[in-house]
Amino acid sequence: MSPLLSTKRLEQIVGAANVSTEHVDLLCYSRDASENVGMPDVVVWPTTTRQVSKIMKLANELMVPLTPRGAGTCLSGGPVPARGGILLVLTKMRNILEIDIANLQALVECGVVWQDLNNELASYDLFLPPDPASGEACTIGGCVAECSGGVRAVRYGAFRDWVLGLQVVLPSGEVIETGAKTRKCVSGYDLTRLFVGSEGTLGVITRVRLRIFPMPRFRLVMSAYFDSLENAGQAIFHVMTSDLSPSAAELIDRHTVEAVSKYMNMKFPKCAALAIFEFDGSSLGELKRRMRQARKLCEKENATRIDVSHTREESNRLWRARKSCGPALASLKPSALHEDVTVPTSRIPEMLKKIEEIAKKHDLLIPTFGHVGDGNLHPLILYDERVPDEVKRAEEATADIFRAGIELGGTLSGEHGIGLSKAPYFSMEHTRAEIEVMQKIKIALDPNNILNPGKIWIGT
Amino acid sequence: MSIRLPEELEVEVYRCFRCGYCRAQCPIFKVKQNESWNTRGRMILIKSLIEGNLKASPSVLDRLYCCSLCKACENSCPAVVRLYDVYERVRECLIEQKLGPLERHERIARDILAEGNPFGQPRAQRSSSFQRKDSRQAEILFFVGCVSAYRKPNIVKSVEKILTATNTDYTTLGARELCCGSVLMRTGQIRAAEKLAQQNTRLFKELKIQKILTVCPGCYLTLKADYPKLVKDFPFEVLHVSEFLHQLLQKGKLQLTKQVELKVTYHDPCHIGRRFNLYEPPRTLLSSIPGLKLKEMPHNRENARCCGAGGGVKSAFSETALKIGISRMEEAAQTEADLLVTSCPFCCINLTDASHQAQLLPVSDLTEIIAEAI
Repeated sequence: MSPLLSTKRLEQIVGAANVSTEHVDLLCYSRDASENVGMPDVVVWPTTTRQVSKIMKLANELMVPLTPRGAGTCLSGGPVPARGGILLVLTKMRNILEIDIANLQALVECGVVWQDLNNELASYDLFLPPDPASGEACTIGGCVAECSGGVRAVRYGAFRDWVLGLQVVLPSGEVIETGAKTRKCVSGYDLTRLFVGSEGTLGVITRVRLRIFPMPRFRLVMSAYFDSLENAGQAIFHVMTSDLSPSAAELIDRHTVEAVSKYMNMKFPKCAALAIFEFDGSSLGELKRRMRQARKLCEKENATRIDVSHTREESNRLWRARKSCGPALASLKPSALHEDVTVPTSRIPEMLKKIEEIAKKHDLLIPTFGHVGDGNLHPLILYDERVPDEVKRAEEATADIFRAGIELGGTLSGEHGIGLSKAPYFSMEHTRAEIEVMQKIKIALDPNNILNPGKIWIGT
Repeated sequence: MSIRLPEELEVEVYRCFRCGYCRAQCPIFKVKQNESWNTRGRMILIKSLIEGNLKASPSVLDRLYCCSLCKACENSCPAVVRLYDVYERVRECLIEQKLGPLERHERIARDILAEGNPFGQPRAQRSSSFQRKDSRQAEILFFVGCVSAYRKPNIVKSVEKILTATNTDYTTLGARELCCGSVLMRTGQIRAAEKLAQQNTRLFKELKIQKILTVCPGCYLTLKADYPKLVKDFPFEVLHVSEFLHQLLQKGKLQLTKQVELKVTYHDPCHIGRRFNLYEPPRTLLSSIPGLKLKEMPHNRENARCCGAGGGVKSAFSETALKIGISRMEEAAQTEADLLVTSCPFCCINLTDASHQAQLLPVSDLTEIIAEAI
């Protein structure tokens, strides 16, 4: 870090209680939920946009790297300070500023926890549909910066589809407001979409104006068990291409079912794959019709058993199990690469087959689950970081999975972001010209490259 | 210097995936808002201690001892890592390596070994609020516990009133009763706890009792889960007063006849709640009191928020314990209850302190309300 940046200057901005250079704090803020590590030189907790602006200005003047961070539940290393410097922890900016029922909007500070917002919205029979698995802990700012999705993205879309406008602090310290309070807006470039998913590399998002939605009156959940992963993939594909519009269409493979049964103390029938569908809406009769239709499609793909959750508790339990898949699996081995490769829905069965082949080829356990309804898979590459040969095989398998996904017309990341984890593979998906466009945008906004350097592409 | 955990617990440390879901649960994190005071942070620190990359500095010790062992993190951990066991064992390891405990906890141990209680008050005063002071042979031993004996005499009176009214054949150890050792177990001072376990067990055996009744969840946890490991032969059934009174209610021996016109909310103590799932007995008892209305807080049963006192937190980090207590009492106040009832003398103390500080509703132990209703 620049010798010119004394903690005193930061303390003058945010107060001594909101600055730490204690080794224990730096260590605990050196990680997110991925395998990446990066020690900050100083951790700062601003409480206002004005403070963020002053810190940015200071960092820019002194050319000190600055990495924004929410709850640090990221799975790609986004909030890991790869080049040290200032770690800007935004969790103390957690006010819900406005819930505008008439216009179905909410204005929140970036550090508001997803679950807290949804609890508040629930009292008005409203909700924010994109639902990352880490919802109880993650912040809205983090969700926007990483363009998170979740199980309901299949019907409602990811965060990108729910952000109307942003307040962003640029590396220069200037504060801009993007978007509008209106649902439609074609007034100049769509800066909102530029910042959504920019992984904290272009500006620090301090406020978010979100669209919100009336809570559906009914939700029905159906689980279908299959003897083969491919059959489950086919069944989901057929449901997605009919007029049934499920609000979730998830797939969980055998290894994941076993891990979740072991740790969550839940009994599942023996199967090669489990598909979970959710249907929501205001008419129970209509929902039941859609579910009957989905049931028929699953039966056609030789489902061995189909269960319907009759109570909200049963559904919640099932969703809780689903949201535990990643952590439950990751705990099977000392290390895990948690991927989110995404392919066009029609290529799901092929992609599932390829992942199985890649696991076999590299002699690794690669359990897979995910939001198959929108083509978003979560293969988890399990290995032991203490065994060099396993590390090598895990890296090779990761590259193979990405290559296969891209060959099928897919993308490296559906919802976790590129961060540090996928930066080495970025050029697999994008041409030099495409990357140059992105880099020009980066330089235009952050000429000194102080904001979250080292992310997305290698060499910056 | 690195710490060494038993293999089965070291594996647990490595099973933590750093997903951070514990942020939503940890009561200490809620107050501190700093990852190093959260379960995920503590696991990062413990891993570094195991790998020898971190010195057990006073800052590190503070993080590892400032945990009330409430199990809220473990309850919500999607990988169900045995966090509670890891924390207790780490504290034990720190002592083995002469790196722990905290000075405050060491002083408590000295007081317990000298006077038999963590407050360092004279041994002879222990039974001053007991109605039945002389030990005699009986089926049930009412193990009063230090907090009730020295700080909450009305709880002792209430329990004895109920036991007498229900013709329960019981005795106490009088002034011979020693601290159960809960605070020592929780702070890793296992050798000192072992001594107490042996001495107390000897007294239990002398009296030829069959069952031990505790009013304090800390005593309950220690006698029920730790003593059988600390002493070879521990043939006693340990009952918490809430489950015992529930049994009496079911058998018709406990008659709750007096009207208690109150709206109350119930706070689940962590050591009988998440640890032993004793969620319903206290609620059934409260609901059986004529006139009493029970209104739940949003966080109840397995999702109950901790009061902030346990695990040695109140003694060594009193300000943090108080802040956590205030946040729990604010949740209670939102139910518009007249009174918060809990089933733990130690929760009672911390929540009462919090309530005084923030001028919120009063706090009572379950036994005090039951005693009023008979």
